[in-house]
Amino acid sequence: MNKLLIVDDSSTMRKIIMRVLRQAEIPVETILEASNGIEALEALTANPDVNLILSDVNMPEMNGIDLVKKVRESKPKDELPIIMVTTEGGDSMREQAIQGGANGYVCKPFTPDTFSEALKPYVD
Amino acid sequence: MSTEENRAEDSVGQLNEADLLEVLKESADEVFLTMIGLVGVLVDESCDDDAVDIEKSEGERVEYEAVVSFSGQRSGAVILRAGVEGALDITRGLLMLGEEDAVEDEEIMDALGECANMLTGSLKCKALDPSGGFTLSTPNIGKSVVVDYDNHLGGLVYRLEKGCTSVEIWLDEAA
Repeated sequence: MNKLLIVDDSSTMRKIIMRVLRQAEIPVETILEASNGIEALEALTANPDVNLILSDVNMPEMNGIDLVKKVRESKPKDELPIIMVTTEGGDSMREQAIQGGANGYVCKPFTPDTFSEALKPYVD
Repeated sequence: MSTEENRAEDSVGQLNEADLLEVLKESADEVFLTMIGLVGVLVDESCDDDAVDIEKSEGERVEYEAVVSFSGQRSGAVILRAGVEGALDITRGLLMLGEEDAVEDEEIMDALGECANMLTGSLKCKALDPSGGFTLSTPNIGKSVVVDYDNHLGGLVYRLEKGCTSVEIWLDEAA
């Protein structure tokens, strides 16, 4: 069963992602929320069994790219997949995220189908 | 200046005010339809110094404003304004809430910020900065946000389900 961590400074976007997960009938045991990279790292320390992170890029305190780099210091891509969910759709930002260790990239606005397709390879 | 920087400047320089406003229309249509589930009806637009005014065109007083700034070859901001009904349309659409569902003021502010964020991100990718290099701010949301840009490039007013909203582009004159 999946244990997800959603990282976004917008509570609206966290709710939208949760709704899309339900619509796509992706089986989720627990969803944890964080509003920036620092909170996400704290959540991961307290919940080391998280098996997928969905993270925004542009956030206060610690952005999504720095979060990916920090997570990759201890968890490789195949152990803890990270998918960026962001309005930052430019090639340069996408490259930075993938080079930093992100597994995938979903641009907002997205349709539920686009979103669930991007998640499928990483959920049970 | 590097070749890449020159290309980026040319790319931005080639877009005139009308082009940018057309791209903003595309972005607004995409965001409204995909994320809010609404087809916004364009009821007013301007492409000059006169800011659009939802109170003048639709009789709805602006109660909420969300500003996302961008900086790079050009600096400026996208501003989303809405009255109470327009803000509720956006919030209920994004969160898929019914009319019977209560909506907190905090939820409205966050939803408008996210909407402005998506509009600016889309404009950035489609027109301002397809190759990267521009940075976006996190949304500044409030009931009367101070806008520190002097060149109003253009604006659009949309009628949504019960209310309306406006989307504007402002640029830094000095850029």
